[in-house]
Amino acid sequence: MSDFSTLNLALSGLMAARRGMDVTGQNVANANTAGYTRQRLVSEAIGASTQPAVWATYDGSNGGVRVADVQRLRDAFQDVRSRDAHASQGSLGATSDALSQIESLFPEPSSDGLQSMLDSMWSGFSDVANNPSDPAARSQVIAKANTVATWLNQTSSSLDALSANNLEKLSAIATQINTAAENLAGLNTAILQGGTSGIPVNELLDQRDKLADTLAQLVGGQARIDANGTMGVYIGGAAIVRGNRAETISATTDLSGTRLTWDKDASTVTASGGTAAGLLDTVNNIIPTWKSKLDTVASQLISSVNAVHASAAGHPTYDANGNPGGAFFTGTTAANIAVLISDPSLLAASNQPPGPAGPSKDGSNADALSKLALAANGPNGTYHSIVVNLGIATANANLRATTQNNVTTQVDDARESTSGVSIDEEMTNLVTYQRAYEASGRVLTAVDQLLDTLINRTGLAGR
Amino acid sequence: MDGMRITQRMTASRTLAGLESNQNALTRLQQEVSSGKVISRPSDDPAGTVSALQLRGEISRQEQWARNATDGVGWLGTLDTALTSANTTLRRVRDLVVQGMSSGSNSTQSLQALATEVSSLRESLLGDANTNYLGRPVFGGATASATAYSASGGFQGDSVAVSRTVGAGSSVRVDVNGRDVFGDDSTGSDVFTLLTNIASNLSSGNTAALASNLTSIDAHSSTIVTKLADVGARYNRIDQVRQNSDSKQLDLKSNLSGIEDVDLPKTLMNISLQQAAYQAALKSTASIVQPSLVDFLR
Repeated sequence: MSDFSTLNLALSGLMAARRGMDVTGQNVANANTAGYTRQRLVSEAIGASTQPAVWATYDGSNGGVRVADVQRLRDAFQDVRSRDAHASQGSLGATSDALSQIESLFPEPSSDGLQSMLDSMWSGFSDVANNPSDPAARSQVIAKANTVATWLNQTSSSLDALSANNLEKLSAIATQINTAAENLAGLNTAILQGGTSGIPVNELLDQRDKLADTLAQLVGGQARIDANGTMGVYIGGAAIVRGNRAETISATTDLSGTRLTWDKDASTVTASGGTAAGLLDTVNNIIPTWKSKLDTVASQLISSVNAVHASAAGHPTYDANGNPGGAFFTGTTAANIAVLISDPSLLAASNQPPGPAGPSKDGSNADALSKLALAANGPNGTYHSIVVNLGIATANANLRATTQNNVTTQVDDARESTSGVSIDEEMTNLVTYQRAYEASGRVLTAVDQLLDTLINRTGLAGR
Repeated sequence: MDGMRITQRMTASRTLAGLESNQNALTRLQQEVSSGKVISRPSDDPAGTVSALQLRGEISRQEQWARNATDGVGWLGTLDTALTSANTTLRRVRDLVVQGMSSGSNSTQSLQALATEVSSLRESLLGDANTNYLGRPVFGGATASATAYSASGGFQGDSVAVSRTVGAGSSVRVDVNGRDVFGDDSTGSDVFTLLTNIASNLSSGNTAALASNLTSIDAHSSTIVTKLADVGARYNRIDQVRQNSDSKQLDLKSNLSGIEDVDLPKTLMNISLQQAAYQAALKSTASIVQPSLVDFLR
């Protein structure tokens, strides 16, 4: 141990303190950077050589300090939890959004919904029953029936539009997934090369983790770190990223429905979570379910009204001209239901055949039509059950999305608690490093004074 | 969360989440007040929504039933007037027949005068029988013809009952068939044929025939009175339904309002509370988020 080596020791202390301040500065600068992981200086004392020397003895003096590593403070388990939570949230959020949009097509309870249109139509039939010979009464009920049919047509096409809109979103998300996967594979390469050549890759690791978060949120991708330090991302067990290789996926619609498929072999991607899974569920299940329920309302309306309106054996009906009644509605679904008759006199209000003086003014068939409002399994009841079940489904989906949101927030908080930058802590570290720097400087000064004494003031006796 | 490391970003994001949920609650309350509705979409309260839908349907039906009843009241009122008038006419005919039967005191001339009056009373009775309501002969069933009886007293109506639905499964017949009240013209036992016979019996002074005519008049009169009572009973019933329907509509509307409408005092109170909470949150955020050790180091 020489005096000059002590100078080096002091220098290593100065350098380590400077590096510590650098790291603190980096942390403070990125306090609000999304995905940034706080870093910590890992320093170690330089000690004796691990190989004992034969001709020299080591006196136990220390060689100073060395910066061993700049560590990222991150918990891989929290990452996994957070990504799982985000995957669920992505899927639940998409479902809840879709149901809210469907719900807004059913403006109930109000006087603008199908319920009041139906009620108004049934009432209209009653008015015809009161005054079957009045063309005005007949015209108004046909107009009201047209309103009902138009609403069903429009709502059905709005549901189609909603489905198309969700498909577009799904395609956009497939593109996002492909981009994220490609970038992640690129980062894998950079990190691997950086690691080999000893370049710090902490910031690259942060970026890669952020991309893994994105893939989890979008499609429920599960990230795994491989032995060589590269990250693999898997969807339903199949790798979308492995090492420097990224696969691409796209949204495909065919007769069996909409799927995400691997571009390499057109096989189906098993997306169990993420926004993509929610959108797939929306397009394949949710929208078709409500559309078919709406079709049930339409077909019940068509069949029940036509059954009463049209003349049949044992149930003769006659229009204002004394001719037997025909169908009132045409079509089979909500998309194609329409009022068949436009001439008010063709409305079959009567159950009585024409008398000698002309067509009967009986209104009992119109009365029977108005009584369909109370039919046990009629369109009114089916519509009620749609509205209620839609309300329950939407409320449930919203609740689940909100709950999942809370879970995600908590998991993210836990992650932030580990990896986030605390200004107070950094300030404390800054003070610590600053003081360490000052102290090392003091050591330098002391050694300098020592040498000054030795060089300039020693051996001067008698001069 | 104890022992958890807290960073400035966590504080900020948690505070923000808290403020957001506060503001969401406030927005929701304000939406309730501005729309006046607690339920603005089915998911707000699915059970409440179905009740609201059922009540709205029920209100619409009650309104229609009330309208049907009003129409029925019109028919039955018209029938009541027509039958009362027909009964008065028949009484007058009876008086004339009794007068014609008083032997001796009648000259041929005065009998002729009685016969002429009976003929004109027959016309007036025919007028009663052809009473219209909104263009429909009230004694003619569902006939397309403009009157129930032809000028000769032949029935032109049919036997179809005219009914009005005034409730679930409840309908009231609002017409009276001409043949039921004035007699069957196909067998010649109707009141118009009778009056024609009386007129001819009077002019011929056939006292014996007049005596049997008197019995027939009494029989017809009693039929009319019975029908009148029947019409009166139906009138009362349908009028009762109409009045009940009015009060039922009020009940239903207040039920609907209880489910759909906002409880204003309660909601305004909640808004004030929520506002106070929101402002307190804002204030404390302002004082908590700012300081860090940076502010206290030299």
